[in-house]
Amino acid sequence: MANPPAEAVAAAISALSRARGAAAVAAFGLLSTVAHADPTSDASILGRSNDGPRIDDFRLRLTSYYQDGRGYQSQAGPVAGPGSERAIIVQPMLLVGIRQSPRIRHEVVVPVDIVSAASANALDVISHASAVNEAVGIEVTSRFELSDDDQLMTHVGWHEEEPFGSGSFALGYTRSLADDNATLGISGQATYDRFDFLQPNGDRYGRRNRTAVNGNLSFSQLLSPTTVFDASYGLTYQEGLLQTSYNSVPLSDAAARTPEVFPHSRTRSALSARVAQHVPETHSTLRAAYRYYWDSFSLSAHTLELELHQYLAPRLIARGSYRYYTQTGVDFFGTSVPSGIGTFSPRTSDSDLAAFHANELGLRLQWLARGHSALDVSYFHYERDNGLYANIFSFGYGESF
Amino acid sequence: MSERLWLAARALLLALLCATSACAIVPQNRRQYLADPTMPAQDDALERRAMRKFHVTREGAAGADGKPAGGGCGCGN
Repeated sequence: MANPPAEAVAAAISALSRARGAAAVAAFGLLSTVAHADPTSDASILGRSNDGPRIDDFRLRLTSYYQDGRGYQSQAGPVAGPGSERAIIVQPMLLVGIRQSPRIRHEVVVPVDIVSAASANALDVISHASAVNEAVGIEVTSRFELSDDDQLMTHVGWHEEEPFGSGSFALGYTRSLADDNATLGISGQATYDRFDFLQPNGDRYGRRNRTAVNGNLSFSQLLSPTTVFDASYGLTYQEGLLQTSYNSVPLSDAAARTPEVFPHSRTRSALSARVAQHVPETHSTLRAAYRYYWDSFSLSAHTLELELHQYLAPRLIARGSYRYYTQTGVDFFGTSVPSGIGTFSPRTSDSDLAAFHANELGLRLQWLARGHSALDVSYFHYERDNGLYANIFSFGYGESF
Repeated sequence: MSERLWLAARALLLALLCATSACAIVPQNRRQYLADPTMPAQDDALERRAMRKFHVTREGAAGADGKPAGGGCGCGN
């Protein structure tokens, strides 16, 4: 009877040997392809052939957020608040585009969040300002060209962080009209979140969940050889535990806090429109966008975005941007509540849900290198009139094949 | 709310009319400026994603951009 560990070792050596052989065959095949490349072939003249899956896009982005402010939901301060909202977030992201065939393409995005200092995203970093929390996810979007005018899209996403997990699925359909002068799109998405039911004092009461379903309609239209217009409408319905369970509200008549409570469901709608105008004479592009939002929490918001893209050199583009945002706040926002408030009565002190105005200025430089690669660096300054501000730095690199 | 829904319905109807009556305003051979890197309505997908994450986390309004609100982050927004 053979010794089982010896059998396992022999099998492993055999597998390694087969793998080496396969690698050698693959390498030989690749070298042969290179060695026998015909400069007059279709593939050489028209570009790569579409015989099988290949990577056609690769992008990396590193974004850093430095945020500070004071909000009554935060415990990083006096009991009656407001507490610190200071946070530092580093977010590396990777995107890989895979062309499976002339009519099928996949895009894989891997975002990672590293959160340090006081954060609204995790309890431990609220109570311990130097703690760190990490989050990671993966999203796969596939596009299938059903015909020259019809395209189907599927999207699958997964996200995981310390007290929280999330999965999503989306389906979309796009139709091109009038010789690609207009595009009409419809899409739907469902998201399921599951997370620890953390209390402001750190206690955990099992797990809770929330679901969101979302529908979108969009269309775009070429208005002239230099003008594009697009618009969309989105409707989202959420149900479940919608509050951030470890957020708290100061009591007005006691040196204590009570957990934040939201209604069980929320319906959100938004209309948006944008226009892009290229000016060939000055090598510039102007873009403007407007968005109106309203929901069942009585929150409404207006967003206005303006961008100017300017060629400084044939391969160097500068972008200046301005964004104005204003919201009314939810109808159950307050900086404190009486201790006699009902257990399930909605209340929040979250500064993100208060009425405020916000201004954002951005600058970006993009260099389009030879060989379909691009580098960009950008900076944004965001400031709200209720005390929160953020500085955002982003660096991107992309390569198309 | 009903006024807003009516507003949304009218905007949607207008959009559908525009799209279904779409005419070939710009022929294929006059689209060189539309193909300029500065013209796509949205910039780099990762940059857009990064800024969207920030706005969704720090503001009460989200949605209408193909993504549902409240999914994928640990915040109550």
